[in-house]
Amino acid sequence: MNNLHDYQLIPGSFRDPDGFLYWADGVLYRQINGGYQANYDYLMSSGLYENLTKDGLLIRHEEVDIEPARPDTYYRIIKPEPVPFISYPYEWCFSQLKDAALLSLNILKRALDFGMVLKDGSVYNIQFFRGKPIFIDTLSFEKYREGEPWIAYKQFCQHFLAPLALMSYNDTRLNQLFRIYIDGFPLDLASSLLPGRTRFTFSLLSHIHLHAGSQKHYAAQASSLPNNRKMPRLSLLGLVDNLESAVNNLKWRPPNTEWADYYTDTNYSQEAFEHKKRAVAQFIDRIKPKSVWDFGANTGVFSRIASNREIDTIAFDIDPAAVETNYLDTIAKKETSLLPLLLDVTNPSPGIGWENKERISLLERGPADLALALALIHHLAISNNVPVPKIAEFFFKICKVLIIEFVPKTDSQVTRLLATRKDIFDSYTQSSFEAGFGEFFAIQSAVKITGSERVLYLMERKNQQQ
Amino acid sequence: MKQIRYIIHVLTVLVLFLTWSETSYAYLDPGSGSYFFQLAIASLLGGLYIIKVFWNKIKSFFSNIFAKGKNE
Repeated sequence: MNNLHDYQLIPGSFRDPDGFLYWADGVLYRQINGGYQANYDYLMSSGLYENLTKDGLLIRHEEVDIEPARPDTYYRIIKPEPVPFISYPYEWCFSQLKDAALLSLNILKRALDFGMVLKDGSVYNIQFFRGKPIFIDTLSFEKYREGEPWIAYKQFCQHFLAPLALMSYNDTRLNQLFRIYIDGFPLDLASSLLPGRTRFTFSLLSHIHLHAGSQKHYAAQASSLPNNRKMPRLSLLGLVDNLESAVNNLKWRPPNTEWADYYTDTNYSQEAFEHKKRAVAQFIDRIKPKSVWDFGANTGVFSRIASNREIDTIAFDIDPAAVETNYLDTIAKKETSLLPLLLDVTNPSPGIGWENKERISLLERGPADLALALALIHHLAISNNVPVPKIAEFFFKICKVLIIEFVPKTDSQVTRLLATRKDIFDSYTQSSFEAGFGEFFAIQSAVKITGSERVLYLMERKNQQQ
Repeated sequence: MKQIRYIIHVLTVLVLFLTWSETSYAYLDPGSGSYFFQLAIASLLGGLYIIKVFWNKIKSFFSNIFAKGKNE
């Protein structure tokens, strides 16, 4: 018997034979298969589940009594607490990935205290929820058998340690390699890219350089893995402790970038800035969205107008330094509704992995109730040569309501963009902007920002593309 | 020099793990190179871990004594 036609399987949930995720009637469920019964029961009865969930380290779930998606393999159906927005490591800044790594190791240590271990070390098991990283894969725990090495050691090094080392020692933008390598960074690649001085750091020398060497050495040999060779529990604790030190010692401090002084280097007067904030707040209060995506959010000044109202808000920015600063702020202020993420609007995250569906594209994660595009359009239209109607079409796809700021050519920021190039943008005018967006949106309101030439629009998506 | 000694030690331990008989299976492929390397490095790290835990105990023992001394 197979009822899968009633359900929508999550495309990224197929590797683990112990269960899978699926949608039914708009609700996310996880089927636990019979093969995982003993481990699941132990997770729940040993106290580990309670220990992890009470501190917000593991996603909570409830067992539900519904018809299973696949009755032939079924043991339990659980309903995990929904995570409002799924993000991926190529959208995280350095500290987000570092916090995710430390969370994984913390969970592994606690699991060992309860006689369990993590059977994988995937970065995709972590999501950001209420301002903190959280482990979302309830099926990752299995009983620890004394003497067994950590099965996920390689995966942890590929998914966390190597990316963090490269971001720390080489360039923080190297997290984009996650887009190419779905199972983490190949260690030989990390080893060849890392500067020579990392060979004088014991943990990086061992877990990356020598580890990569060992992989290379054994790659040509078809040797099977032994289970008569035991690794004492103490060795496992030593390994985890060393990995934790290695991650803790990796640091990245945002350098000054073009956006770092953005708010002090615009043609906005304080009065105009405050007026814009008030106008955005009034629009948000009018719309009452449940989700907000702020594009070009910088360090999140305007995103916080939404998130401070406890609206789930994503602050997207292209600049890793801005995202890092913003993330550290959310941690310091214990903000629970704001998630800063890295994104290039001109090249948003694609679908990657098997059939391009394992990790879904940004567009598939929408639409948001409301998008903010403040001081953004001139970067898209002029710096990136995207015609205004195409910009309008993009926002039509990703949000239901849009607050967008039109920045005219006479604005000093646009003049700066045009200073080094030929002005081929005759059609970049307020009237053509309104015409272009009018194809996709009904303009509800337009407010001229006091003391500037900019205009703030509130638009609602038309039901049908005209 | 310290690092070179570490490398030699780790490589030595690696060589000790070159013969096996039985096979183990799991849903995740640990990778033979990673598996063997983990066995080697973890034996070293286990030793260092004992020293670390022991050292921390000594430190906390003395800091407790001094803390008591201050309180008295």
